[in-house]
Amino acid sequence: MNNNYFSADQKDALQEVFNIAIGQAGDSLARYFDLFVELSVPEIIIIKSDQLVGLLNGLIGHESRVSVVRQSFFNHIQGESLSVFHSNDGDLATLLGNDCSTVDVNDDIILDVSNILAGACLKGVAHQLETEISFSPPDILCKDTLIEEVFDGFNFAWDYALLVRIIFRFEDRTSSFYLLYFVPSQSIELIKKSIDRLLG
Amino acid sequence: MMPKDKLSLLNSIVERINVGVLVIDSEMNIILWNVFMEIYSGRKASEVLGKNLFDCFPELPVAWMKKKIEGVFLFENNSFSSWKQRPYVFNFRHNRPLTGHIDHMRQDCVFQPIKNQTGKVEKVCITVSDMTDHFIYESKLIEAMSSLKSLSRIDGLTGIFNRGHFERCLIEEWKRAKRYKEDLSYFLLDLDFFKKVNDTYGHMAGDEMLRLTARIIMREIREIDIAGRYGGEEFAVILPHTDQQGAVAVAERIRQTVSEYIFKYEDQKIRMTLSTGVSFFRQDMNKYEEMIAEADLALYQSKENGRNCVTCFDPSLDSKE
Repeated sequence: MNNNYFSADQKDALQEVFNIAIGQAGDSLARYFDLFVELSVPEIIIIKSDQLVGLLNGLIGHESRVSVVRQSFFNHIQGESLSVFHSNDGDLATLLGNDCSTVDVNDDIILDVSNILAGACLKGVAHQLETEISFSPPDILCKDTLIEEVFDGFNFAWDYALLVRIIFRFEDRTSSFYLLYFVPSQSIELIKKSIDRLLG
Repeated sequence: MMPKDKLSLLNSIVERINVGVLVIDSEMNIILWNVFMEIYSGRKASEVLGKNLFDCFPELPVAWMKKKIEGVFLFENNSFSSWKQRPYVFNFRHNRPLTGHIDHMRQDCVFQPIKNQTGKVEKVCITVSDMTDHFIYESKLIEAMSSLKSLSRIDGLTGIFNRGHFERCLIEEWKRAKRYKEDLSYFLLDLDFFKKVNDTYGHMAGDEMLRLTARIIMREIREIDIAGRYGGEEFAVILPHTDQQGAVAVAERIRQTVSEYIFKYEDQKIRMTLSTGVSFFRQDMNKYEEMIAEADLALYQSKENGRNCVTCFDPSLDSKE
């Protein structure tokens, strides 16, 4: 973490909370999708709003085309999650199976995958921090859009945010997708309090 | 335990709320079915309670829904379905028989876990929200956007392409002809003595005449041809994949139809004619404007030759200048 938002102890504890949550989520995900799901160690950083686009670029690759699903979480810790998929990942649908041809299958799948991944990890975090968490329905922020243009037209009303980055990969597949949790500065205090209670 | 009166209050809210509420157990048996669900499914709670959801409604997307419900049990978390991706889950009619132009109620569904006292998920509650109005508003918005887009291409008076859009088409066709070495023809049409019509019969008559000319042009050109109003009483046509002979045939047909037409305006019969200049794409051209300039010269020649005729560009015309 690149500033003084958290003490070393707080940082370690938060990292551990996410590690445990991810580990538990991985099991359920594998059972649900009937596929092994590889998850990276969550990376926790503090970013400034003007760093966001550059950070996405670095993460996903300059000039990549992506589809992004957005979802709000709230009730105690408040923020938004972004699930970022490469546009050419159209075969997620075939990988995960779908029975209905009249539906926009790929959109349906990325929404469902995003909801499950974002929910599974964050539920585990909330459980350890002994708080509640609720989720809005996920919605598609953009489709097949240049990574540089994902946030065009947005005026960020936040300065700092806690960002947690997790990389996912389904077995036998080379392409990854990304889960990013953003917790704006107001909510970081709540996390710190919860962590302190945990360290108690 | 909750006091009885509060329980009965909650019960009547769930029953009467304008959202479908149903609850199923892990065997997919229906254990709650509110009034909304009764009304739209046409099935009374008494008919479906205790029965398997998919036996009662075999038209449901079974595999998808089972997976969804399995996820709710497994992750102990909400799952969602939006009308934007899946127009409806339950095959319900909507309540806009007059103003709705679609078959089924658009729906957003939420699948939420219901835990027992030990914290284990035992049931799933499914809520069904009617999103038909949203769907209709969004359709209207999309229609409005697309008609705005088309309005920006259309000449208000005649209803054919305006000059801006027409020139964009010409640039595209010119590039295509250049790249693939294809034939391309172009002609300009100008109504003869149009100013006199305006002066004698008034601008209303002139406008009617422009509309009529546009209609005749649209009727006589082929499906692949593109026509536009170039300005004033001048029109232009792009003819892709068309050589000199083909272009002249089309131009001649328009000239003849217009000249034979008896235009009636407030009990007066008005005859009109037009002059046409035709040009052809050559590989040695560097700019599309050259085609326009050559058609312009040929048109000038038609006027010189007494009007009501079709003239093809001839390089010797150029040198006469």
